Amino acid sequence: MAIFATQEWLDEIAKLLNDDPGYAEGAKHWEGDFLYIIEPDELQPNPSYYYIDLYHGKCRKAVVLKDPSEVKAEFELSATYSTWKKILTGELDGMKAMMTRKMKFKGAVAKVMKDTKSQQAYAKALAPLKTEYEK
Amino acid sequence: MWYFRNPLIVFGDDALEHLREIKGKRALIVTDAVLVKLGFVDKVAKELKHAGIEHRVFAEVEPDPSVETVRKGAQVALEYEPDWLIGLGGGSSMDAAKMIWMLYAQPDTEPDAIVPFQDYDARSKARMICIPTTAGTGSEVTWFMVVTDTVEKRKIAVGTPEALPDIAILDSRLVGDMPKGLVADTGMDALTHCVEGFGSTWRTDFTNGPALMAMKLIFKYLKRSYDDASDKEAREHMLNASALASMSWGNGMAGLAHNMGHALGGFFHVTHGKCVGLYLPYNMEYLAEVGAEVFAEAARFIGLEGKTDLELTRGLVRGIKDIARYLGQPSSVKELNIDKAAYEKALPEMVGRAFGEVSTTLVLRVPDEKDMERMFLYAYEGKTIDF
Repeated sequence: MAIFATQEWLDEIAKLLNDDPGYAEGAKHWEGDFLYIIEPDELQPNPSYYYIDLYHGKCRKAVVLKDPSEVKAEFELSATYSTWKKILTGELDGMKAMMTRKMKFKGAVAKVMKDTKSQQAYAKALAPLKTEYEK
Repeated sequence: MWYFRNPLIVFGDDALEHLREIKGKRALIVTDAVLVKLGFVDKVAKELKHAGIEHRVFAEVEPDPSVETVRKGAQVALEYEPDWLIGLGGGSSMDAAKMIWMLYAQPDTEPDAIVPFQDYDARSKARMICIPTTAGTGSEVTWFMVVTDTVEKRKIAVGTPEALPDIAILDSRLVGDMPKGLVADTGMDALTHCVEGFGSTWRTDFTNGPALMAMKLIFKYLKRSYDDASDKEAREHMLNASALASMSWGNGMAGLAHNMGHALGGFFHVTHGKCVGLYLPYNMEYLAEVGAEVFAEAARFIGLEGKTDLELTRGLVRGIKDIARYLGQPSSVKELNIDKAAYEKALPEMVGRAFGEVSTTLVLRVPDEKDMERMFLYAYEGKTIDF
């Protein structure tokens, strides 16, 4: 089981997406890359970052970043470690997290919201992902 | 942490008089030409005069208001600079008023780019009052707006909490003259709202209460309101019920009936209430596979009986179909005289559009494309959902 936000975890995400014909079909029109910022909180004192590039039903890149300036992503999502953990374990709905400002979103969010098909395909493809949280 | 957002609700058969209490300089009344002719605008203007507030009227809202119309209204607002906008009418006028408000505050905004987690600073220029004349869309208590892209023939359903009206005035005198057809269509919309609000995965204690009360009132008063325009009690309770229903889904989410209904309405120009009311029973049959417990709770509350959750759910579905039949509403798409070949041709796009609405993922059982397509087809024929 890979630890959240490590390279091993991201490699697992990329493999699940790229091996899934459902994702290839459901997200075949999607173009967009994401910078994820894990803000410091009591669980993680320093910020960390990772990047996922999704294009036409494939994950082209999924990497840990040392610094967010290494990429210029179309979308940027930022939340504390605790909030990310709640979202990824299903305790907190992602949209509610945005509406309560627990997660901040930069980029044309309407583009993401309108493409429910890609989102559903993404969630379905990653359903088998097992994540360990160090904190 | 979550929210339960509502405007100040002023209700009763003299509720319009609350307008005498508001403070401001200029009000832009957004409405349609029919309401001007029927004298509704004059009633509002009379109360604004008491408050010393000037007004102007933008009466170009059409059923299923277009993006062009709201842009025109926003231009009027930018020129007139009101500090109050008043949406007077059915859902079309109120939704148009809310969208005009957003475009007045942020003229560079694209209607379909409005999202719930960006700031629009709407109240920097004006505040909003909504006054419904149908019972109803409940738009007066929600932060959602639906306009139509007439070029792409699609509904744009968006929302931001800032678009929640400041005041909702439910004056029962304004719904007294509604003709039967309007009572039926808007009543089915209200019924769909409370059922979908109750069945949303975003349901809370706060949204459940209004949903259940709305369902109880609709089951008791909708047929009466339809039968007899002079039944003031029925008309008033239906007006209140439509607001309660929208307090529920407006703070939860709507569901499949609305998303499928928007798709049908966008393509085939069927009135909103007919569309959503038509799909509702099919969606409930689909959702009952995992959501019978939820619907059973509602069924018990409104006094239905049954031994199991599924039995109660089926009873609720039968009750809804019975109301629809009584009101002369279609129970299948083919009853709307929509050509089957045209419907099937539009199907891939309709499925895509239904999936383009976020609330498709916030229902008790989330369909995939295949299931969505089958639901559209079963609803065409009037076939009970069996998958």
